[in-house]
Amino acid sequence: MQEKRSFYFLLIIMSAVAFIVMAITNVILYQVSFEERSQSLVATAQSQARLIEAMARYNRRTNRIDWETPVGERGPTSLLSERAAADTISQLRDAHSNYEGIGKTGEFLIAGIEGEDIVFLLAHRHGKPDELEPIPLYSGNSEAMRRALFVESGVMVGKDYRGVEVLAAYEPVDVLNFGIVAKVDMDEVRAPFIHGVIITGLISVFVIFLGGLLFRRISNPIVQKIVDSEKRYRSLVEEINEWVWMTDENGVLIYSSPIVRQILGHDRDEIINQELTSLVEDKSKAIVNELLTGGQRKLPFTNLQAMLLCQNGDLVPMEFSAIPMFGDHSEFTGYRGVARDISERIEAEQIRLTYQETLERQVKERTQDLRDINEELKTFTYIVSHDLRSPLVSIVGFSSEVKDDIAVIQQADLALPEQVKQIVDDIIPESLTYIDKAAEKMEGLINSILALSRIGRRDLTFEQIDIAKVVENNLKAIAYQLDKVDVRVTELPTIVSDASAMEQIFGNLIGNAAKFLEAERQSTIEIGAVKHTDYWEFYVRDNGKGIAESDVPHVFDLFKRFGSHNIQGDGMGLSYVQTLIRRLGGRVQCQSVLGQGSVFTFSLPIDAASLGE
Amino acid sequence: MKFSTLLLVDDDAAHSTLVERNLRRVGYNRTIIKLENGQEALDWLDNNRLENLVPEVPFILLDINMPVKNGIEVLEQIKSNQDTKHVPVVMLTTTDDPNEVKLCYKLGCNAYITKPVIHNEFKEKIRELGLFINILSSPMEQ
Repeated sequence: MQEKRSFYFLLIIMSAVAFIVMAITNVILYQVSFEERSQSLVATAQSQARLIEAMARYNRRTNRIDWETPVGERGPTSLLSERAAADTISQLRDAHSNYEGIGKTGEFLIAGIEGEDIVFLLAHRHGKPDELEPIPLYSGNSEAMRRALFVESGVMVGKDYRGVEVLAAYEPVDVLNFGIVAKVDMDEVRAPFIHGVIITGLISVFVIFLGGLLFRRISNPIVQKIVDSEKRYRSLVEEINEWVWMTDENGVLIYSSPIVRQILGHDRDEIINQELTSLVEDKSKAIVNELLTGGQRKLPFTNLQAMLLCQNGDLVPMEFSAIPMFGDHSEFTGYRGVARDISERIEAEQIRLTYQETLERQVKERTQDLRDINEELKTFTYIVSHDLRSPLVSIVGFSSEVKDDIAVIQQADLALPEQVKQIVDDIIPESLTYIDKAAEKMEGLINSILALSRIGRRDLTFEQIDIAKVVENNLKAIAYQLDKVDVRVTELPTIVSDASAMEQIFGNLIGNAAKFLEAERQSTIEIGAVKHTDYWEFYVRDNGKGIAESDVPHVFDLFKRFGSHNIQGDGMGLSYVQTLIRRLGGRVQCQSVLGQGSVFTFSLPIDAASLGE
Repeated sequence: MKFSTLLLVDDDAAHSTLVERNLRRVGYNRTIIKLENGQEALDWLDNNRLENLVPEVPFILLDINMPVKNGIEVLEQIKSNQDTKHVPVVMLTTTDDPNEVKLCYKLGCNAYITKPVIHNEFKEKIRELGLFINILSSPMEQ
């Protein structure tokens, strides 16, 4: 709408300029032409006057007119002899009858005064002189002739004898006491200009129309572009979820995007022209005011958090960012910025905090639980090493006492009944043997559990360990078992780990492989390592007896022994291995096929130092 | 310096009996006083002021795991007391936790003997212990 008005306004200005230029041009042209016309009329009038005078002088000479009478006293008739005057007039008439005249309306008049009237002697175009009625000297018409007859010379615009406006040059004719007027109708003088004005006007209108059209053609896309861009930015500002605002140098809102209604419930028109701080909760008011209008006001600010008042009295946490604006003379004119509703973020932060607290508490609880369990484990070790063992000492001790006592009885060589003698000699010693065996086994179990629990609690010492050395030592220790075995060791790394743990792990795995070899075929034991991105994988493979599928998952269990029980062992080796590997941050697994062999694989982290244990 | 009395501090009467019998077997014929917990041992030491007994000093065989007051506490008190710190204390216990062994030596025990479950070993240890105490408690001129 605004653009259209501007366009029309522009068009009007253009037209006005065109018309003014046209008018000035025409006026100047008119003046020049008017001047030219005037001069030509004057020239005509004067030349005619001088000619008539010459003619009159000649006629007077030939007609012997009394020349002594002063001119002022002569009447038209008395001036010349009738004849001389008549001659001159007839000569003039004759001359003028063959003359077309000046232009369309140009006319040449000669008149004299008779009494109080102007009497026309010659009217070149509009009629014969006798047909022209004399007109009174002071009628107002034919002013030019009156002046000529009063011996004035010049040019003027006035009414002729017909009462029509004309441009007239007037000149007195000496000798004959006539006046000459050369005149042309003003209409004729003006006609070309009126015509010209109409034509130039039409051309101007056409050119202006064309110009307007072209202007629209050219400016429309530009205007459209600007309008579109404006629309785009407006929608950007007004449709984003952030409140866009502008304040003047006093912190008074001069713009607000409509989103404010959704955020705070205020209508935008209702808050414009209010101070921004009037929307801010009391606590944050001072700081916001300071930023918007205080000494620091020329600096941009970001992430200023403040609570804003809703229309319904609620508080909304918002985060402000703004940049200062400056006028043409670098004077501060206010701030322009955005504010976003951060209640969701704050809520999320709250939830996160709560969650974190819960998590931390849980971790603390669990850690405490673990500590408790560890503590219990220590107590457990105690129970095993003392409380379980102590009664065993008594059992074995007293069984031995009884054995000694029986021996005493046997040596006494008493005459006992056969049945009693058998009891003393055979049954009691046999019972005592079983008691001892059971106690011995019990002690073995206790020692194993104790050993395992100690492995689990022992402090690990990390150092550089050449695994190849460890393996070599272990193989040497059981070399007597391996003289017919094909032992293949691939390249083994040096790693950071606990020496005695590595000793125990490889000792057990290699020992097991050697222990369960199949005598009926060529035995092979392979030991090697594979490097992965963050861990080493070691393996000990044999082609020995293997383990039944159903037993594989239990190989690492306490006291588990498989296969023939005539092979020595407490069933604890693999439990130790598993415990140690776990403590070193790795995992161990077993794959086996009964009758074909087993492979034990275990991983150890390359960066063992990261074990905080 | 002579030892007239052997204090056998153990809450388990069976163990005390076994130790006593084995000591007697190797010819130890001095007094053996059997006490059932650590507090009793400390009380006994209190009641038999050492000054009165000098130069006769008791020899203590001390179990660790006991009710009321355990062996570690008793050991600590005996060895930290100026009056009693020269009393020989031999730990005689079923526990063989290396940490505990270390701790006892640190606190000043004179020996640490684990009671073996295997009876022959047990007998052997007590026999040696008995012979040793015998020597200590015999008159010097012998």
